[in-house]
Amino acid sequence: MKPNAKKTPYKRIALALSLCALIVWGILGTGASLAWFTDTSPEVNNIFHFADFKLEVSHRLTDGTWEKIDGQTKVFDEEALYEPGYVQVVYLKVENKGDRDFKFSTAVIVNGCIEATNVFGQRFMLQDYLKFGLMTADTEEDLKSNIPNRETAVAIATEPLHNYYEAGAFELAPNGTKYIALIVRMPEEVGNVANYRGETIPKVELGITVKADQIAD
Amino acid sequence: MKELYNEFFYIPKHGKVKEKVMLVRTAITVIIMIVCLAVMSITAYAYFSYNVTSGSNIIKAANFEANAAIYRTDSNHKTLTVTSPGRIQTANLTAGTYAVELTKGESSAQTGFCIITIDGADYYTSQIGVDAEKGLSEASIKFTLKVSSDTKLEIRSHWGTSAYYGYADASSNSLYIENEDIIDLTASTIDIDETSPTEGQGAASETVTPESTTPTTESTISTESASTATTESTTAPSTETTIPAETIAPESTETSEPADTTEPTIPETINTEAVEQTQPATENASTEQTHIGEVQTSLWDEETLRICKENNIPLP
Repeated sequence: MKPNAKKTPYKRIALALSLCALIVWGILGTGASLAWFTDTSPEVNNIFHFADFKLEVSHRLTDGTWEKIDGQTKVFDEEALYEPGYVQVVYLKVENKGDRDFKFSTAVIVNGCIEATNVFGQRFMLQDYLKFGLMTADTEEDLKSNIPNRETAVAIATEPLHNYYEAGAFELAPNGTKYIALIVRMPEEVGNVANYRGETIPKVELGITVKADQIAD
Repeated sequence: MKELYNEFFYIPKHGKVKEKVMLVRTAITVIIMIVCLAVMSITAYAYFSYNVTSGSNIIKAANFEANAAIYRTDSNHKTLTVTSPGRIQTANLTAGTYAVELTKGESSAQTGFCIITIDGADYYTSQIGVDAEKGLSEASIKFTLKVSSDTKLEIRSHWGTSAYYGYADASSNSLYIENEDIIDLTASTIDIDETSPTEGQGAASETVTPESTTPTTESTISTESASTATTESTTAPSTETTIPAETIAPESTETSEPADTTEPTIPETINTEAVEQTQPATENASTEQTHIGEVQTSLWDEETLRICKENNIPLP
């Protein structure tokens, strides 16, 4: 035999194969033993499905019907012109159309304000002379009885109009409904400081958002 | 860019990796991990929340600016020019009789009134437009003005309801102008004649043609009202209204009770003054001329009696 000839590692290959066989034998034996001492019921059905989480908000029209709100829906009457003593009440209906409980809250956001000039020649923002309020009830009848007249609406709308985020959240079960009244008014005592002159009409652009969060089980 | 890359990002194939390169690569990796965690969290949160938004709700304001027309009625019926420097419309009058008409014009507000300054004295008109308290809707206010000398007339438009600013109404404000009133400034004292001559007040006034039955002798303007007109102060609303809670037009004077803060207590004072002033008048029984603050004690009209009774004011 030549002294530099390469030896074939038969021993190593044989050893590796033996080890693999030993491991496979251990796995088979362990698995079989475990299976011998367990049992399964063939009648269990594991079904996975996605929960339906859906919120629907509608606003009440003048004829008493409800119209669903989307991003383009205007809830407030655009033809309304605010002057001292003017009050506008808007009714919203929040419905849980899904099958999961959720908590919802309402936010009023001033998206923009157009400045105008008053009779004194001063610039002013209409937002500074408006007040708003918000009330929630479980049924439409409750809501109407809570705001039976203008006086009550005036008493509720006491917050200056600004970005408002409702502090608490209301829980709503599947198929549940809540009603919200949103009131915006110009107080009677607003003087000529908000009586505009010129071509520019003072305006406030208002956004209303109802946000729902799923309740964890 | 290539230099920057070689400086902070390049790892040579067979060379030593620079420390700053390792730091930069580690930092970028950490940032990417944080961003991914945030995105995952926000996505998960969004998956379990739902928003419905009504975006662009526009809230607009109305305005009120009365149009004024003034013309002579005693001579050439000439229409005077009313200038409008800023918020005040002015007219310069010479001696004579004028008809003044105030209309809503192009105003988009449903109601308003005017504050008229005549030689420094402020007068307040009734509502031009909707007056819910009286159930009226007058598109204009017309009154007659008589002056005996050069007089400057200033007209300031004011939106809202005069009662809410303390200007009250004819029952408690002697400088309150209603439709068809006559303001006679030719006498030594101010005279707004609104009563019928058969009621015995002002029948013989040389400058008065009775037009309405509202008594004139109730109160004087409070200085607070005048200052409110000029400073536009706002007070807490004290009126109570009873309009249903829907989209509601301003119920301009829909106050079952006038504003408490402006409830005039002057009738008592006026009556006292009137008593004092009329004593000489009764002594000089020949005169039957009636002026604000002076009342013939034996000639209280029914409206005055009613108001005094309501306010518990004893009459002599």
